[in-house]
Amino acid sequence: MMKLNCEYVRDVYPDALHGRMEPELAQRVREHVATCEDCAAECALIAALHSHTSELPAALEARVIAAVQQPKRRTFLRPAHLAMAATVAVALIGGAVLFEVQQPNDAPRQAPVAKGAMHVGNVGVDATMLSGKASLDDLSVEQLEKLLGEMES
Amino acid sequence: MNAQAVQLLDTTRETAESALLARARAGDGEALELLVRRYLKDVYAVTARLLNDRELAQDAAQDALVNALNGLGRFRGDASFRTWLMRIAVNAARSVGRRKTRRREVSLDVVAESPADLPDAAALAGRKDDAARAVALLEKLPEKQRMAVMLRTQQGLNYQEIGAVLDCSEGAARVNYHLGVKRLRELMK
Repeated sequence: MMKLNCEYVRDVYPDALHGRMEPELAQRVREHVATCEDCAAECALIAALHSHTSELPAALEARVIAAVQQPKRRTFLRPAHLAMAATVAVALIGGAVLFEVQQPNDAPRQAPVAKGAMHVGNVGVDATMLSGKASLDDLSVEQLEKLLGEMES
Repeated sequence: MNAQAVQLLDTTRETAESALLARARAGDGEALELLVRRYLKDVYAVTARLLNDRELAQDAAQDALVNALNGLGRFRGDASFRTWLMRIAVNAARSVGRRKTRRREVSLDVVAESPADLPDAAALAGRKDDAARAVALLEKLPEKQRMAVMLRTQQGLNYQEIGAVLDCSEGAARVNYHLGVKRLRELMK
């Protein structure tokens, strides 16, 4: 059986301490350490570090368990991202408004309306309603659907 | 126990852990709790060694476990779960350290190695326990040496795993470990 050299023993000693080595080889490492003064000094230091156990602060475990069991954080809703999204939205809306204002003479895209009525956007609405004398209840289903469609577009 | 028995035990442990991770990935609260109980001590040991500040180390340990367990889909199994988790713990500690640096305008290295935070000779002389003295002296080592020594002796990681945790090669991990031990022996004299 080949003799183990000091360099090898010091390199693998932590594996022997942690049981990450075949038991027969670990035994040979221990035998070397028992007969080599310099290796014994280094391995004593390693064993001292290995034996040192630091206690967990009280309540940390409960705190971490509670934290991991909370619903996942939706990282895309962080304040910075919300601010960025709001900026883009404002720019788009502002751009669309400017685009509309700059085209006053464009051909109207309004649907024909009956006499005595006027347009709100693309939807024909009776003047009585605009004057506050009527409410949405006075609009027909067809008119409401048109209005809703325009609001959503 | 012979080599075959050791291998069988390792395989059984890996299988049980894979099942536990699958349950945690599906949001099983009990599995998440078991994983925290199993790994918190290791994670805290890493963050405490890097930050040298009890409160910050707790924050970093919590961040690490929350990030890891909420992002289990990112764990590909290239390394062991423990190694992957320790890598996340190192990143969490550095991130917390940077936040602390911004707040206090003091660099992490200065915080970790400033004389004020190191055990002075008088304090060390009072420590009769070699283990406590050795652990205290670890703080005098440069970060990579300190971490390599800690991960190897206290966590039992091999050089490949230490390299994965510290984002360096296996060879660099080995060199850092041996340099650290050599320097520590000199400091212990």
